[in-house]
Amino acid sequence: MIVVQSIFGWIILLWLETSFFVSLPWGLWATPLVFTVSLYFYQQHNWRFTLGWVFAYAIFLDFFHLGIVPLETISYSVGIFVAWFTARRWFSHRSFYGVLATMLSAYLSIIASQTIILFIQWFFHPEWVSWMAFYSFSGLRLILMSGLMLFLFPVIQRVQKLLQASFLLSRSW
Amino acid sequence: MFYSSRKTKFFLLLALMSLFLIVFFLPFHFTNVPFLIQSVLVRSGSWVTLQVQHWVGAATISPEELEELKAERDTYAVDYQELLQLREEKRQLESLLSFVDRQQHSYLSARVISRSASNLSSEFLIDLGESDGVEIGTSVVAGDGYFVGKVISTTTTTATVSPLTNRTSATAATLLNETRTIGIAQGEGGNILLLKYIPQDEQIEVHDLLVTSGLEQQVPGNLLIGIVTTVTTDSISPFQEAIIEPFIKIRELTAVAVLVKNTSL
Repeated sequence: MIVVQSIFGWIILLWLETSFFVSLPWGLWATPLVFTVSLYFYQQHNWRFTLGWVFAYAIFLDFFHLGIVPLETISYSVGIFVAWFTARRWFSHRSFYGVLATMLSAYLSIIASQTIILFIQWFFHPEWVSWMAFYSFSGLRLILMSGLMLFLFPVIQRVQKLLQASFLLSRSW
Repeated sequence: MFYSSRKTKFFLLLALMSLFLIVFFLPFHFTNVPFLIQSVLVRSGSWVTLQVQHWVGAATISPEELEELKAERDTYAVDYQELLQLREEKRQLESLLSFVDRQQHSYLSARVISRSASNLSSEFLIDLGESDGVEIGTSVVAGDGYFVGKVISTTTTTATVSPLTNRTSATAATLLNETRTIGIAQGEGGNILLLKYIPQDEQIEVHDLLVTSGLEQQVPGNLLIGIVTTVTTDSISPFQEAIIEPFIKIRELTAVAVLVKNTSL
């Protein structure tokens, strides 16, 4: 049951991000919903499988060419490793700042990996790459991620209780 | 907390991948259900965007007036393009090459089900795939023949479209001016195109219309692309360039038409 719910959760997040959020105005289209929610649950609730959500998300982006740069699976794998490492060794899961720090460090590592990939692309096709667009987009994503975390932190437990009460989520979650 | 055993983890990963494959690759009718949900989500997001745009612009013009003006502009653009096309056809003694070319394609309507979040590229996913006759390079249009872009990858039930505004996109295009100037419309990211490689002696004016030239195999001619907003000339360079504003805003698209080859002809 929990397996089905976790898959269902991933699909809902994926659809929300790649279908609904991307159609919103004012830069909200850049909201990294899957990444933020996955890392929040990973660190705050120790749901290890949510790192799999991020990985599956990266495969989805690569397969359908919907990523920011090519080979998103590599970039996101680096991000998953950094998230795993920092959550275990460096940052506390008890505070908002700890979770946010894990998230930001993981996303910064993704940006670093994307920069390398984009540099290779720029080397062969300079007309395809706009560094300004890339960094403004990445900066926007960092801001939106922090904003989403500010929203998620107090709200998510209420949603969890609501879902449990309506039997959409099992009690063990 | 849970999923501590390796078996559970393996099962979870397997189940996740299986579901992913079922939803996106198998050509069963139930793929319509997720596509329908995704399409509704895309429409909802676009509706919010439209409302916000109206709300922001409300100080100067009402939403209804804005819509009317946009529709009026689009009608004029289409009429003008058709008028010029008819003149050209008459001048060439009814050489119906362009007409025949148009007739060799049939339109299939498709829903936009996912988009890229990036501002570097604006690829989007549609709910038609190889089973519907969509191939790599197939043209995608919107409205009354506005060129949107080309298909860059396909699965059985889906296709990814790279819009003409992408930096990786280049489209053979013709200006509807006196000399029918031919050039390459290169995407600049965002919602702008650059018409390159126009010889210095060509006369280009602001507000000239740009259409597809038909020189590409899977892109028919005379599909509207956009309008010239700026012309830049450099005395050192042998070419001049024009900045084009496309008629279509890619992020606002919720439905498109795919031009598939008509095999009956």
